[in-house]
Amino acid sequence: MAAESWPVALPLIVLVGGAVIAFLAGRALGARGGDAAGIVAIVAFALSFAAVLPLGDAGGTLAYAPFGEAALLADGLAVFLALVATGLGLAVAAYSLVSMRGERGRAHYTALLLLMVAGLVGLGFAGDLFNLYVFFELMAISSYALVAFHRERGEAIEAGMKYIVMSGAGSLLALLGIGVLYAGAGQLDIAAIRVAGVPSALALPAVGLLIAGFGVKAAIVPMHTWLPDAHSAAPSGISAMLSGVVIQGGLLAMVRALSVFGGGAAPFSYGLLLAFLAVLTMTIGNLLAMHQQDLKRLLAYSSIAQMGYILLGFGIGIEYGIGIAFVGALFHILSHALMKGGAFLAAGILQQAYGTRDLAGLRGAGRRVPAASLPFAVFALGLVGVPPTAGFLSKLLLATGAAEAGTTGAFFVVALIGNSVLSLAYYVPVLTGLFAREGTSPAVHPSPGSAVPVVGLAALVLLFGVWPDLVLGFVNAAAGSLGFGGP
Amino acid sequence: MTPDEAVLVLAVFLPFLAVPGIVLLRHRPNVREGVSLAAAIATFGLNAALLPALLAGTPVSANVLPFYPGLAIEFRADALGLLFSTVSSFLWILTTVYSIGYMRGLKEHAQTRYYACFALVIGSAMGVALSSSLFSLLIFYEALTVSTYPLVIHKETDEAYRAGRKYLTYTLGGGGAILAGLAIVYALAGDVSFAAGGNASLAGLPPTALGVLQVAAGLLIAGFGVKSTLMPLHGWLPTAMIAPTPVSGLLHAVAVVKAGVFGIVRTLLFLLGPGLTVTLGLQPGMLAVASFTILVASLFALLQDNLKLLLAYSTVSQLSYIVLGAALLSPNGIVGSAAHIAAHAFAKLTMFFVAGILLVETGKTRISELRGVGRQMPGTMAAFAVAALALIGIPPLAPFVSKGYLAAGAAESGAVLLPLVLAASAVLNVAYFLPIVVRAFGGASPGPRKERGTMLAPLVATAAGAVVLGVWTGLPGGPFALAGSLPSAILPGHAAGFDPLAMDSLLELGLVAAAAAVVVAVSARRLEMPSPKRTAPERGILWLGRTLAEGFSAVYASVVASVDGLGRRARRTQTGDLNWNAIGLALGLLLVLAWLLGGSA
Repeated sequence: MAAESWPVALPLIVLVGGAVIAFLAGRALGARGGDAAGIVAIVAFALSFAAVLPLGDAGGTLAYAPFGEAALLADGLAVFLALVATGLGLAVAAYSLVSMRGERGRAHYTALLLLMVAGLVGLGFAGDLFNLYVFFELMAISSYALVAFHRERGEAIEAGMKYIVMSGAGSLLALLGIGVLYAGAGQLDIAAIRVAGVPSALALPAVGLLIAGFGVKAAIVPMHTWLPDAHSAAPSGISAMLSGVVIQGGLLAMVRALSVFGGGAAPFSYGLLLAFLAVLTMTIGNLLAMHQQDLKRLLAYSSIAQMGYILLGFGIGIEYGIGIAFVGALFHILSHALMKGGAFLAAGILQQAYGTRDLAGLRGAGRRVPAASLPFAVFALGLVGVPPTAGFLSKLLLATGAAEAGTTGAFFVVALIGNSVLSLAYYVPVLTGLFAREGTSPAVHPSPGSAVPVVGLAALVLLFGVWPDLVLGFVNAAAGSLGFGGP
Repeated sequence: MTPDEAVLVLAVFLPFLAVPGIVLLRHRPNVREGVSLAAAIATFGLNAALLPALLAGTPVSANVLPFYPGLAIEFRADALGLLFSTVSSFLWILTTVYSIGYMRGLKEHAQTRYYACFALVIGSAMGVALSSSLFSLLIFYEALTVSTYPLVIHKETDEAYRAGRKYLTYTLGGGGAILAGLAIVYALAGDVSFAAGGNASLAGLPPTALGVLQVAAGLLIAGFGVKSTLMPLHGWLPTAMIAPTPVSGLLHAVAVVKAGVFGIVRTLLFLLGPGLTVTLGLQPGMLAVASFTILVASLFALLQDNLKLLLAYSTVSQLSYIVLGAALLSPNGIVGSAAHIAAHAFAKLTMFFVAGILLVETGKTRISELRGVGRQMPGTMAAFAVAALALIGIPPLAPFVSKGYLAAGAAESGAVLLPLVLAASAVLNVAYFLPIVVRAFGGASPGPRKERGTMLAPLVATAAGAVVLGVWTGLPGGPFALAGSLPSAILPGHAAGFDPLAMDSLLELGLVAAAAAVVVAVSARRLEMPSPKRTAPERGILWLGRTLAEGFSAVYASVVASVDGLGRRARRTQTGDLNWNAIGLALGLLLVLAWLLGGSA
């Protein structure tokens, strides 16, 4: 039985409180307000990260129900998602503190960033479908405003608008799916529904709506089309968050909602559907990325493909009950957050230095801005799956999970690795172009402070690649708490 | 950690440790080169120090870094591993000395990057050689790819970057295939470590798992096949010739390509084991691919006027000798295969060193320009002649011995075609190597004699190595001794025997080669080397070669074009129109519901 414990709510309180304080400080302090808000954000992220860490030790028995039935449950998945979200948020806040100097609206930006992460953390902690949806929407709505942050640019407004429409439609479908589940089960608590079950006539449309609805946010093909515009038009820190944790948050919301059917209570199999969608997603994502000349758009398309890899792990784990597939998927969420988040931040530094996102304009940038491009090389090699990065290990675990599924599994392994090889077609030219000899000096010299989070993320990618034991405890706990029968 | 284990770990990591020293000393070139040289000598010393334990029957092993249950960085200094590592580290010493002369002679740029990457490459090669599991090997195998890239693009011209892109795409793609195969094997058996004769957990798998294991084996062979230049995966190698000559020598004689064939030998004999290799039906396919590569690559070599390209294709051909020997799964085949790793390395590196000296001293790169250069640079071309005779298979040079084992293995395999393949290849070797030597020593010297010592000495040393190893096959701890110890470990109950006087097939091979040499030498004046201005229609063997080469390029181009086309067509779906996006969402919902309905019906 879950023990009542208020520290479960502490991370959320810190983040929301931090949002309020950052906004007020930012508005009140005039010229220095932006910096003040940024520092508040960094402190808030660090404190909430620290608040989440001890929650994992209790083995998923801590809960808190501030409003009667609506519970927050600190299980392995909640702790894992919260750590990744607040950790990446910390890096982005540090980056934004330096790179957004002189921009207007930083108080809004910082507050929204904190609220977005609060939504993510709450989404992970949600023990019932109502909380899950509320925090999901908190995350989504904050991200709408953040995508369209540079509202003086038409590109950002257009991207934001498309994003709102698509994401809103997806949320609506997801809400419909939750409604159907409620109609079938009579309650919203996830663990309770898992025990009580849902009549299959209602379960089928519910599953379909949940996959399609949350699938928009998770950028599953064919619901992915909003992503490239949104991720490339947003400020670089927000692109990092979107690709790094937000779309994964959408996927985990879907997995959490579907876990009501975990433990063999599903009257039909949908794991294979997820695996098939995953192969479609990764292939289309890689093909779309191939001729991109805009660096951030290329990274955005690559995120679609990487979501495919993660979804494959979940699909195979759900269908065949293979624990290591879940471990691989979750480890890939972590490594991708570090790698893609870092890559976007590095791209942001290059964009600020050269005033362009175009690959032709950035040719040779590598040698002149090594603080950004050497970490970028680490990130790119990690995304391809080259040791000793964390990306190599997560891809290996995903492939192993797929391989354990027997003969069908061999097909998925080949699809996974084939896509990995396909992705070389766009990663290699980016790397070789960046480190070419010709090129000009940057118009604006990037401030050293903005490179600190980037270098830090690159160091973590290498550290976790060589010493995965540091994080495997959290990953394994998350896999075990999914409700599908973990490792 | 015991002292022995420390030596083993240091044997792999010392080259890596030398890198900061090399980088920091970039403004003091002589000290910097001294550090490289010291690291090379020390690495060879450490590897040699591991031999006594092996010869005593207790190879040193060390588990360095566990990643996950069953996946760790772990080393064991066994016979095959030490064969590769001692040869590589010894040749690193000579290549470093040679590089000093070459890089300074051409006043090359980015020398610090060159020496630093060299150290990284050798360290990675040591890791590949001494790894005792497929996972550990893969880590260093990929490190090999990444660390050789800056060397391939050294010239930093457009052509160099194109070659680098092709190189990375091929080799990282191969690495991906190995990862896939590794994942399947790990999922099936939970253990990917090497054991002479095959991994026991794999051998103990039920027959139902064999289909999946076949897929895994195919992926591993294809993956390692890229660096082994098995056709049609060889395309990166000729393009990579854009690199400086010591790099080409390193890539082609010592580190990268030998790592590829090393991986294949490890997979066939130490992971799957001979029994499983046969059960999975891999043997016929591998023998066929290897034979095809041996012949067609020799054919391509015949077409070349550029010396380095000729040497590249010759390497492609010679590497498949090693694959062929391993695929024979017989004692003679195994010994020949392993020994050829060393024998070919010495001979081919000599030839690349010659190509480099020719470039530095005379600026010549084409065979058609080499008339009389042997009189201008007698030491150099004499060494080239020795190396050429070695690769042709003339006794008592080292490749004669390794090819002898291979021929014996081919003869006793019962497949009639295999000895024919080897004999045909020997004749082709004569046809493309010997005219170079004849041309070099025929005609007047084009200029004053000049051969600088720092480049000539290593060249003479490698040629001498080919002689010494061939004459003194009993050198304790030497390649032939180590290779000779393999069959009893891999194929229990068998032993390889090699008696130079009793080998009929050997004598036959030697006679054929000698006869062909005489024929060529006599008709050398009339044998025109292909030149770029050739106008007469090519007939016979040259036509065949050219058609095949064009066929390969066409296939490669169409693969690239179709993937490209898929990418362009996919882009058209990204219309940017919100209505289309919404339709996508609706389609997604319909697709999901349809699947679920169909599945539950």
